[in-house]
Amino acid sequence: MTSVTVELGLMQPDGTPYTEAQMAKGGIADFDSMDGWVRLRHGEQSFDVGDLLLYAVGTLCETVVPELTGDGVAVYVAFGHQEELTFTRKGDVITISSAWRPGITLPAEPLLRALVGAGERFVAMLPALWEGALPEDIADYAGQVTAAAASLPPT
Amino acid sequence: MTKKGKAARVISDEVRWGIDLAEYMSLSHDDGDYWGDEEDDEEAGPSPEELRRDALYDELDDLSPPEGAEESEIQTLTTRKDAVVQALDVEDIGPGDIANAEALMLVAEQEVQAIAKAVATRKEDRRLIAADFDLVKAVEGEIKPHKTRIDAARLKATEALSAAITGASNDLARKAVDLLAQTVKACATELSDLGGKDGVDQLCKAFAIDEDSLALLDDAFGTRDEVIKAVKGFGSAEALAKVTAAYGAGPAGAKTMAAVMGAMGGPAALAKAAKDIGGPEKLAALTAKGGLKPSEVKALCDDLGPGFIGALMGSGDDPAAAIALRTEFGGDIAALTDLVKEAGFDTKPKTLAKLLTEGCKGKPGDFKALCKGFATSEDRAALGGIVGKGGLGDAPDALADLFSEGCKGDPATLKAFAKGFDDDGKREGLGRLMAAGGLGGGAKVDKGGLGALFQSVAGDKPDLLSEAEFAKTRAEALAKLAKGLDGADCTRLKTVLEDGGLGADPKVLGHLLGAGCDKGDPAKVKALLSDMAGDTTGLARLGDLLTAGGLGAKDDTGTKTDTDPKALAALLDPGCKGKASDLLALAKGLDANDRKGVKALLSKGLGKAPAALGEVLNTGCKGDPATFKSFVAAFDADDKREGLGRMLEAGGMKGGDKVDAKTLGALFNHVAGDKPTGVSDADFAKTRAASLANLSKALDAGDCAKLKTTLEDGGLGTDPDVFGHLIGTGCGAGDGAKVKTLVKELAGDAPGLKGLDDLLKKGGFGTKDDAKAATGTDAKCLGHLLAPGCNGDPKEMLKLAKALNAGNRTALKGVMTKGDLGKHPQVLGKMYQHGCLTDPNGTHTSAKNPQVLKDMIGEFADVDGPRIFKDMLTKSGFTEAGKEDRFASVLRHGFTPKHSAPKVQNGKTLRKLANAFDGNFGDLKTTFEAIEGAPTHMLEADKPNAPNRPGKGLGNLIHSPKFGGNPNGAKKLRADLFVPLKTRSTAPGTGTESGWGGTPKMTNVKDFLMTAASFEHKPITHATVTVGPPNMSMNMSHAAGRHSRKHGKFELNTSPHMGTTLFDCDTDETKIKTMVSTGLQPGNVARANGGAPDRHPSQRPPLKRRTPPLDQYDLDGNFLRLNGTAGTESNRIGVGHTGGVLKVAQFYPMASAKPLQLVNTNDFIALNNALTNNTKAFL
Repeated sequence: MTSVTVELGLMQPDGTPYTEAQMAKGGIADFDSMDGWVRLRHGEQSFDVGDLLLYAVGTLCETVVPELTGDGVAVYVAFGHQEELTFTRKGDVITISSAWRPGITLPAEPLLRALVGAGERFVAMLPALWEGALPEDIADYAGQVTAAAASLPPT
Repeated sequence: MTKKGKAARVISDEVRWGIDLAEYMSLSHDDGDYWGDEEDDEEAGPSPEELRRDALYDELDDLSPPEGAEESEIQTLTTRKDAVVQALDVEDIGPGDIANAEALMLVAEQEVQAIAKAVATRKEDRRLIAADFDLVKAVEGEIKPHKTRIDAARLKATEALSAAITGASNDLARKAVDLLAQTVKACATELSDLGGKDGVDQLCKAFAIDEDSLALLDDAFGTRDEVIKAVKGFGSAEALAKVTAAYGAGPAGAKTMAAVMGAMGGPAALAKAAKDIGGPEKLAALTAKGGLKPSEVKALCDDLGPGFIGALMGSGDDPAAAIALRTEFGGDIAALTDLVKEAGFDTKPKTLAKLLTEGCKGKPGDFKALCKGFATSEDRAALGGIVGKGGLGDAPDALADLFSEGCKGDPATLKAFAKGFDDDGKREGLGRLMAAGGLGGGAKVDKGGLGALFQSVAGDKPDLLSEAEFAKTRAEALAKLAKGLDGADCTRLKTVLEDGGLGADPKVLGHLLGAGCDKGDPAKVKALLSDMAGDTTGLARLGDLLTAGGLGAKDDTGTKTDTDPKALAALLDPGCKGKASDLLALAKGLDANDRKGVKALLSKGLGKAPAALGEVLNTGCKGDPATFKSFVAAFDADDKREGLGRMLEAGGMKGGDKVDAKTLGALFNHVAGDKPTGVSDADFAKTRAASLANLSKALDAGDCAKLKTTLEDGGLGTDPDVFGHLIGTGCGAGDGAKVKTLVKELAGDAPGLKGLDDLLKKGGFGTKDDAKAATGTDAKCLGHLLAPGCNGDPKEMLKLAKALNAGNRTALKGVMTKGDLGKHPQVLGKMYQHGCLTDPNGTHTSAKNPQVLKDMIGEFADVDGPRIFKDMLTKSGFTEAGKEDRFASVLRHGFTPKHSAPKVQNGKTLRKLANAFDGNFGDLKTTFEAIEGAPTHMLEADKPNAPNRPGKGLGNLIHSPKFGGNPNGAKKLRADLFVPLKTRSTAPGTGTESGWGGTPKMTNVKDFLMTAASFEHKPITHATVTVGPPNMSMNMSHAAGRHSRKHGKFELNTSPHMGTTLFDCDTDETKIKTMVSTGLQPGNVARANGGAPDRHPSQRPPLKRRTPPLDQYDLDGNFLRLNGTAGTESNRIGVGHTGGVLKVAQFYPMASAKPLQLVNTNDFIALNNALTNNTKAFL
């Protein structure tokens, strides 16, 4: 199994989750302040990157994806908490490690593409999801995702 | 007629005419002419017969009476001769005539012979009479009157013996001699009867007469024989003289005496009476001083008995008492005589007299009543029993005192006493007490011992017994005691009496053996005597204590004290719990100075309060001599001693119907409150004593009057320990000013006092309820209710007392007694202090709100209420040492909403809480311990007079969104909070959680509990706040809702392995805003990636990041991670540039002077689920 999926989600302050499908419907107040998660799945494995969702999606696409198109290391510094995730690519796998929890090793290419894919879905739902967003806000995100996608080798 | 015949006729005539024979004979022989006439008749020759006749005549002529013949003899002879003459004087004398004449002649001759013989006989008789005369001797010691009499008789005898010897003269002589002899003998006898010469001399001297005047006595007595009878009757002339002299000098006195003697039935009777009465003077005094007639003297003696009369006179001779007594009895003397006879007083007159003179105070009427009181033979026999075998007959003083003092002059009581000794064993025991035991009196033993013992042996009279019934009780007790003490015991008793000074203090003795020995219990008295008699030093000191210590009736200067005689007994029991050895130890433990102090103290009032004194030693000193010394020493000035006296008397603390005698002892025991740790008992005793002494001094008469009212009407008098603690604990260790305020407020509030009385007796605050049943309530409860409960304000205590109705009191009693709250006064006091406030969020000194208590107890008024209350109290740690304010904290803060109205306590919630944990109070205890053990950054710490824990933590739980506050908020606290958290604490790590390394899960339920309790659920006032000018906002709802315990809304971290960081409990939205605002200021802010921003984030133009980047903001992108420092706080401040605005989108603490708590996300979820209705699934 080499596929990696990425699911997005939001969590209301009271802990109520919003699945990505729910997110797509929009109408979630204070979205821009809401935490959420970027859940990486690979087979039975799962790894969540939890953070301010706006920050998490954008940062993963902007920071991690372009940095790991080849072997290398990218660090995701959380916005809403103190965890730092180290993404290390060696060949075809990317290992995500944390000081606080067991890491996960995922196939590199599928991961990066899944992240970009998630970013694209996220950007697509932003107009409905983000009330009060300025066009340039959405454009900024879209730019980040586009840049990330562009960094990937062509399929 | 013949010559012879003629002569014969003449003789006959002469005899017939009484001529003296001898003279006649003389005449016959001397006158020859007479015979010459016969010759004229010779005219014829004589015949033979005539011759013979002549011869016969001649013979006849020769036939003369012998010398000494008496006339009768001569007459007889003449007759004989005349018969011859007549026989011869015939005309023609014949032979027959001659024969006849011769025969007659023979008769005459025989007559002559007979006469001769008679003469001889008379001579011999005379000789013998003379010889007898010679034998009559003089009387030895002859007195003059006798000599006169004897001389006269002797002269008559001499004269008689001198008379011619005839039968008649002999007879006369014989008679005279006999008379002489008889006279001599009679005089001798008389002299002897009179006591000889000495006796006569005494008589003469006594009657002021000489021997010659003895006849005067004869006149006085009637006859000499009477005199002699009197002498004999009195045994001696000396005695008679003595007796007679008593009636006055001289014969006159004798005459009086004789009259009395006559009336009395003779000298013997008089002598006996004189002896019995105590001497003749006394007997005579009946006449002389008493003015009694002889018959009256006899009547008096007959009625009263001389011995009794004499005894009544005592050492004097005044018969007034006896006379008055008889007068009193009038004609009804049988009551006395029967008593005398049947009760054995006939041989004990002095004893009987004492009964009148001292026993009846000399009042005849009383004595008569006494006699009549013993109306039946059975009564008198009973009295005889104690007079006889009981030894009282030989102890008149003791018997008199027994009646006057022991029986208070009541005959019925004496009768009861006598009947109490209803067998010989008891009577003999009484006898032992009187003799071997020394109670009969002696040099060192007062006569009043028995009376006092009888008076006191059974202690105080129970109200239910009549005087008569109690007299019987006393008698039985004393009789039992008497029977129970053997000879050795009695010997010891005597030793104790004589060497221990008790003999001189009978009342003290009586009470000592009575009240001091459990109402004269023989075993205890034996033990007492055994302990005491063998301790010579102890007895000596006991004696000193009685005198120098002022415990006795007289002190060491002989001055009468006013110390109650019960005082020593009280020191024995309850003071020494009846152990005599301890009493002696006390006596020995006191030196001269101590005794002086004791005396001074007793003299100022304590001496009149024996029961209180005993309890001072018992309750206040626990029987310890050293403590007693401290007590005494503390009262080192009269103002203190007098103060104590005031408290006892005016303050009512000496004891009475409404005030227990233990009150003073209890006050001494508790006046200084609880003994501080590390202070010795001895030192604390001094502290206590000083406190009491100072308090005594502080309370004036007015205060004491109020104190009395307080004690009597407030129910405190019958609950001394409660009172003691009220003063000690409740009034700042007996602070005078506070006590004055206390009694002022209490005494001035009658309804309040009634309420207080009810609170004690019906509300379970007393150690005994209104049925006098022990409640089990600690006596400290009321004291703790006052302070700290009411912060020492009596008005607040009264307010509570008055606020309670009957139902409230019943419920309160249930909680106090069955619910065990009464066993934990400190818990109770703090509970009311903090738990029943009108403003629980204010200070503990704010006004009380009794309603909270009423609500609380009302919830436990059901059948199971007290049980569950008790379980909760004891099993949830409310009563643990050092946790006495746990309950207070719970009630004050646990049931008071902190952030929602009404911010008042709700007592009803307690029952809900109890129900929630019933059967599992250990879990509640765990909860409390968890809260109490929380770090101070999690939960507000306790402060002085502010027991914040566990109450505030519990309050946070109860008033959490899930539980919803009072009262039902506590209802499911265990099921819905404790249990889930417990479960969470013990759950193994599962799924994703198992591998989390960021934030370990909590494994101790206490950690869960304390964390849960640290959330206050305070609503966030402003969801969005401006934290930086002019356009930087912050989502406070998010920041505070996640990281603040104050406002926490359990917002989960989306990075579950990281958990959630919680600020300390003081961090609220305001502080967060300040921290953010401050942290963003230049100098305080740093970029997370390093370096400081070159300007305030709010001044980040342009908002759109630029490509290529022109400054650091462009490099950071839309989300700026900053570290903002505000004082000791360092926080991550995430500034987001979204939506065209800058806002603080993320905020969490990174470092703080106070520890931050990082909570595992699933733990956080568990807390969320426990405290909110927003149940979340575990990750």
